[in-house]
Amino acid sequence: MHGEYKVPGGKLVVADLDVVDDHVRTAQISGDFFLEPDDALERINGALAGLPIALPAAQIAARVRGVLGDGVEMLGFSPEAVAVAVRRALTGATGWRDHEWEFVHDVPREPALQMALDEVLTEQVGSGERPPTLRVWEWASNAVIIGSFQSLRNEVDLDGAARHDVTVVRRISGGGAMFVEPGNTITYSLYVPESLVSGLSFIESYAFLDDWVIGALNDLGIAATYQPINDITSPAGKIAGAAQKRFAGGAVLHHVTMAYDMDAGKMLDVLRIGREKLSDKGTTSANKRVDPLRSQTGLDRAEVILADGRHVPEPLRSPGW
Amino acid sequence: MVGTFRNRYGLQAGDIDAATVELAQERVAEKFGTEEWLTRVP
Repeated sequence: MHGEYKVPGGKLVVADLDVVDDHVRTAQISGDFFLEPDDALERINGALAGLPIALPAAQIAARVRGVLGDGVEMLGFSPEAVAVAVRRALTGATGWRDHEWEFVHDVPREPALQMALDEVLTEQVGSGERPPTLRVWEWASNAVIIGSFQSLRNEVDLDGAARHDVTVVRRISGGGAMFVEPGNTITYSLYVPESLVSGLSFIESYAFLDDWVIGALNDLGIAATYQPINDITSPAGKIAGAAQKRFAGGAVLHHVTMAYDMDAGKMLDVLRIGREKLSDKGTTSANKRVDPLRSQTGLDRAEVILADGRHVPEPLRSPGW
Repeated sequence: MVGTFRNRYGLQAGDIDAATVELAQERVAEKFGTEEWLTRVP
């Protein structure tokens, strides 16, 4: 059995396991990590031999940790990462490149239809009707999207929403409320087979599914990092929030909204939660926290969406940003 | 960012066909566009 795990921000860990009678007979860990001393790899492999295939990741990690003394240096991975690679091998996890991904840069759609499309497209990936898909959204109107479990009244100022022509909708995933205007955010959804995140905890799956976009932001010169549970942040402030919904049919919805250029004043009229957060931190720092993608890259929104990390068009960078 | 995804994992052009949009519109009528769903937690 074969399993791979790219540690977010770290190295690749590969587990090749020989399984007999519900136990790992022999294990071989490999990857592009760094490890000292040299014989530590043999000790890790030895620790994995004999383990029952139902053993949870935490206990696998403890076993690995147990055979490594104080003098061992693991760079780019950890006992937990080895455990994840092993769990992924044992559960038949797939990797990103095992799938044929499709890309849809969608036409502008009304907020309620966006919510419905997320549900329908995830179901289609679960049933195999559609290949794993990356959809970039365009918004047809202003919207507030509240999390599945949020109180409408507590989160949204409905008078403010009406005044700014904002449609309020509820999504199927958890997490917090967000305010969008067409062109001010970059929202996308990943519709993925559950096998891609097999062997990962919920927290690990957020970091795992966000890893490529953090790489993309790094390529654009933004020091973006994953911040548990579901944020992507930078030294200048939060850039994006992610949310997930697991479907019974074997697919996972992972959608992300990144701030491109936000009208903080309007947001405060519409979202109650924003007021509390801002009053905590003060207006000055609040202003610092908005429009990170535009201010940090100086790029057009379309350029950010299409960027491939190789050809950042320098002339688009505005001086003084 | 889409280019970064393509470089890492491969990416082909796809689409959302009319039947899928129609199905989603039915969900709007039944669920996502209803007061009941919006005020699920009032």
